[in-house]
Amino acid sequence: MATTVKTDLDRIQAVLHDGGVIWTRSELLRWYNDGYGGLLADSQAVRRFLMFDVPPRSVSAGTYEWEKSYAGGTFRKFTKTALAGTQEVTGEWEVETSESVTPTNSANAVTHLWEQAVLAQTIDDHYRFFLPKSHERVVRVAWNDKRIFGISSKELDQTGSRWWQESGEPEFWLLGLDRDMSFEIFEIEASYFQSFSIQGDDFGVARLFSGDRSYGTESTYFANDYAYTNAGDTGSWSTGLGWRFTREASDTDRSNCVFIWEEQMAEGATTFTDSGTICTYAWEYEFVSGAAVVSFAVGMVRVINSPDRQYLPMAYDTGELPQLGTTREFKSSKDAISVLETIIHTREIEEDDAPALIPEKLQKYLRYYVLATAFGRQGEGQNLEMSKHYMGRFDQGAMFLKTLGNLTAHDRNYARGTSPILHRSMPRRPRLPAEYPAFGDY
Amino acid sequence: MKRSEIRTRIAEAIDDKDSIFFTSAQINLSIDEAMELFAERTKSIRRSAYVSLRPGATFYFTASIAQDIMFPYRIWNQANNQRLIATSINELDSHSTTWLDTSGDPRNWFAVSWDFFGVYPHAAAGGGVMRVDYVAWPLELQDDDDEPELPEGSTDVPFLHGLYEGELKQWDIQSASLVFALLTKAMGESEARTGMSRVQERSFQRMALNFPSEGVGRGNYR
Repeated sequence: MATTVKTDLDRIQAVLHDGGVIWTRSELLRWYNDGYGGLLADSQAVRRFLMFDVPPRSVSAGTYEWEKSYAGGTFRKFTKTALAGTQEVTGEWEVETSESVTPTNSANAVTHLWEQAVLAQTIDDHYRFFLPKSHERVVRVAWNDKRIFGISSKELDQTGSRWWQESGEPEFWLLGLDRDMSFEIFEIEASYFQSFSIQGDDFGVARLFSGDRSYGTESTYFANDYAYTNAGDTGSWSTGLGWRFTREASDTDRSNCVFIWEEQMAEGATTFTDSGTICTYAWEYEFVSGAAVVSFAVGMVRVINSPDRQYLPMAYDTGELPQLGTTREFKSSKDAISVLETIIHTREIEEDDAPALIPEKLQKYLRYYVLATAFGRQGEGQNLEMSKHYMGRFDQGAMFLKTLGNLTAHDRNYARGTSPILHRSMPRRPRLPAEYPAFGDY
Repeated sequence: MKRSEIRTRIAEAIDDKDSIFFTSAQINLSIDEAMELFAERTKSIRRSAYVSLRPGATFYFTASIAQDIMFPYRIWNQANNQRLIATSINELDSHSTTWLDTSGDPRNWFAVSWDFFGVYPHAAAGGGVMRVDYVAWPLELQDDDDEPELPEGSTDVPFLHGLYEGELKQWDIQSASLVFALLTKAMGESEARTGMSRVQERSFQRMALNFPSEGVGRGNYR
């Protein structure tokens, strides 16, 4: 069981000799969160894969920048700012019209970028992917598992074309021209791909996946705690996993039948289906030949296996036992952009949580951060020397976690002579002078 | 030295023999934390664990190999008796564009995050085992008769750490800094006596070991 924040705060208060009078508990918790974010950001040791379906999706799209504050999640402003910021327009021709200039034809505008796949026409906007709040830095970007390379908008601009509209196999990625926490790719994949469509997740857990792959389930839970006949039996006098061994007929009494022929009889049938033995407990099937084994595939998915690919769980949250949580999202790197990124925690941790994105043994450095901040705060209890000392200890922790981030550090020979080649130049494209006659213009 | 003895020494050193100011439970935690610091600094606690090669799996979480793992320092493929060579994602990317899709006997391993690493190529079918040798975090001491996993000459480390924390608890930063300097020095000396440094008979400058048939040695007149 992981050490919770509560335990750490108790230990901090023991050093401060304060039960919350000088330094309140909420103040300590806030600093604990600050230290946690600082440790993760400084060390860059927590890395996760993040997949993006194409075309890019955002949680919301809005007309004005201020809408982002109320939208939540990733946000795309789909409008173009015009008339010295007094108007937001959708098409380029509107810019001309609003300034009383004769408009020229312009490309379509879309609210969400995925719409361009439905539209099947060029749009005059950049193909941008929006990164979540937890994102810190991009380590690697890949398309279809193949690495794509970094480039700048300046290099692409030199091609003299509307490069953001060119479709093809993505080969480059760039920070591009929009807000921070987003990036774009070149060339763009205009087709629509969605790796998984999660169905039946109304209750918080995905129950069914769509797709062209076949899935089977296996459960290691093979025993029921009790067996019952009708809905009235559940939860009244038995606990644990119950199994209803009857079948409900559609007659007016809604009879509960053991065998299928009983059900057919209750429903007024004249021909009947033979039935094998029906047992009440799973273990009974061991002793009854010909009886179908009952599978109790209850609970949540814990492991997904395939000999062809790996289903890798990526924990972003920081609960007490994050690996035991529920899978909320399924993604694939096939026909998708995958980003290896460094992250920080996504939400403020509470006293019952544990900072599970760092090794438990490094939680002491978070205590040092809180103590450094507490002793450094103005007012009663201020002790700057203590503050400086504890901050030094925290910095040591950040350095140590950074070292841990490179797991192979102690098994490497760093005396290599050559570095891997990880840049790729743009293929040269001829650029003709502006006055050069266009095709067909003789 | 047993935990009870270390605790008594700490309590006496901060003039709190009855453990009123610095309770026994707090001193016990301090001793455990001293062990963690010692392990972080000296990397002297080493363990081994085995993990099966999972079909299709490139990435392995360290927590799925051992709960006390700090970092692996050697991975050995038991199936073909090969040590996996440490590499990086960058090197693999420069080696092949489709390395993530390549299957076979793993030959390399690479870091991804502090909590998981990858192997290349990934196994196509199960039926093999990797031995992972790793630097470990220390176990918490179980009771008062338990002894820290330390070289006998380094038993002053938990004592000094307890003393240091006792001084900090009194907000006596001058004394605490002094003791912390002693603690750092003690851990430095311990580092020089543990792990690889324990071996004194080695010459790290020598050439790789070659057999006569490999062209080096008596009878080779080329």
